Amino acid sequence: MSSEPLVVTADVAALLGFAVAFAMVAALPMRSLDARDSRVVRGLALAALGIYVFAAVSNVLEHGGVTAALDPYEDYIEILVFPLIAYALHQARLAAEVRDRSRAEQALASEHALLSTLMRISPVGAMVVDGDGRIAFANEAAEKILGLRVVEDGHFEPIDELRCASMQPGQAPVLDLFRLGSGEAVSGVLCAVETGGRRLVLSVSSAPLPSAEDGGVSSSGTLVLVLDVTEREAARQEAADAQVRYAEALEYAVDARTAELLKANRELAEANAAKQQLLANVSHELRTPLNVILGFSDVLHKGLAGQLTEEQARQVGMIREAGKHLLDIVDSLLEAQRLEYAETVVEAQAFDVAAEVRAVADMMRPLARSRGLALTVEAPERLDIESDPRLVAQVLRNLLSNAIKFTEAGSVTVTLKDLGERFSVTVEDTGVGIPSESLPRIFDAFYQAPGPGGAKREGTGLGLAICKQVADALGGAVAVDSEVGVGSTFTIVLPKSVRDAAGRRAASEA
Amino acid sequence: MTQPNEVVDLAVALFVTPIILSGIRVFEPRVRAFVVAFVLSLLVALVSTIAEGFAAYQLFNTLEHSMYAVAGALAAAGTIRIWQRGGAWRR
Repeated sequence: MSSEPLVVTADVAALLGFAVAFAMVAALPMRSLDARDSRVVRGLALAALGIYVFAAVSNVLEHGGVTAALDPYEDYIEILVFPLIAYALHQARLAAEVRDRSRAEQALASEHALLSTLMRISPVGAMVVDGDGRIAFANEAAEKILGLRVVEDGHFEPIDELRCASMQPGQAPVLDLFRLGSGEAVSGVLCAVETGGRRLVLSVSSAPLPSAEDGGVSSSGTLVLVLDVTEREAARQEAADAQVRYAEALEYAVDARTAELLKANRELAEANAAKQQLLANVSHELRTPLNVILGFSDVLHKGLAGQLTEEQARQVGMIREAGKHLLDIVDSLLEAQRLEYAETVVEAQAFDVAAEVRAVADMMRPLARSRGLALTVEAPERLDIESDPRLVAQVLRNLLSNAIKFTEAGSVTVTLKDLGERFSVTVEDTGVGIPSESLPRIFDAFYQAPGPGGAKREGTGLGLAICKQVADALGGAVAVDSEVGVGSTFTIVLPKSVRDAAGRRAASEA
Repeated sequence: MTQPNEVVDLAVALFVTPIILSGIRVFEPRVRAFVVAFVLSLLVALVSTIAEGFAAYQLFNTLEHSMYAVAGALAAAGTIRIWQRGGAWRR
């Protein structure tokens, strides 16, 4: 036995390792290589590993003390191992390169097939213009759109002169082949061309093609895309024309309608003015004889024209009351007319509205008493405001007159409240009330809410309309809350200073 | 004593080693490492074979056979690894 157990152990290990590697390589599938390359690479690798298996066996036998007979052969064949490995790797590398190239060629062929199909079926005309301004390639759509034909050297030529005039004034012709061939880039430029007896509108785009040989630095021609947009442009033009026609028709219709409306408005204004004038004249003409009637009935009533019998005095009194009532109506009509024409002049002055409320209540108290009603006033001792006392009193008179008129029994209460920059006057009665359906129209001129059972009420229907117009004129508002059979509450809220309110209103309008 | 064929073996090995190293690009990185280690261990073995004829025979002889054992182990491990991954080629 040898005295070198470590060496023998190493040799056995080497033998096992190379034997395993030999077996693995023999069975290893080489899917990436074709059959021939696989056989060559596998054969070379097995040869190299086989030599080492042989060398390991030789070493085991030699160092194990069995025999050294194989040693000379081992020394000679070991020289082949490195070249065999190098050759196997070289072959594998070649096979890999061939494989990669083959894949690249397949990809290129697929890409080419895709582009060829795309070019063939595309409705967009595509052509390549070379540096000499000649058409080196054109697809079927380009041939059809531009009327191209193939000449002897394989280039294409247009049947007619191909000069597509730009649709923007002042621009050079778009389809100038020499300029395109020099690498000019355009994008979706519209131009008009006449070719093969047809007038077409084309959308032209172009870009220089990069050269494959020098990494895309220089150009190997220009790719020009041509799309026939004749129908689209015609439709667009037609739509634009229709729009213009429609706009003109609409303008004409609006003008005609405006003229009609203006005419109607003018006629209405004239009719209204005539109505107002008539109303004013009639009212004015009525006042004079009415005053005469009232004056002489006063004279008769006071016995200045001789003593009257009791019956005569009663009848004269009736004439006098009827005349006063008629005069009230005429005055109301005149006031309403003045308010409608904004003739109400607000004459602002400082006064104590509490005193004014009490004065109006005192004036109306005899009427209330005659109807058996209690009239009470709840007001602060003094409340100074700056407004028009005549108009404020008029609103109060109208509200109180209405409350007394439409209250059969119970009371009428007037309440004055200070609300800071504003004040309110509330007139509350226990009268017949207003039906809810009449409330929205209660402030309309000449509108009268129906009485119980639908009976028509006395009066002109102007009192509340005047209240609302006066409240507006003074920068305030009037509101009503009512329930049939329970009573009504009218509230008017006015600014303490009519000048400040007018200033704020003007500012907000501005 | 150093034998001439051992020197020739080393010379040939050194001559083709660059060719081997340039060819391993076809392998995946892990397989490359196995191949490089395999080749280096064989070169060390060849150098040791020559060196044992000049000095420290026992040491270099043991190193030579150990390097063959290492190369055998690397060859086995490398081929098993390739088997497991279904191929050695760079994708």
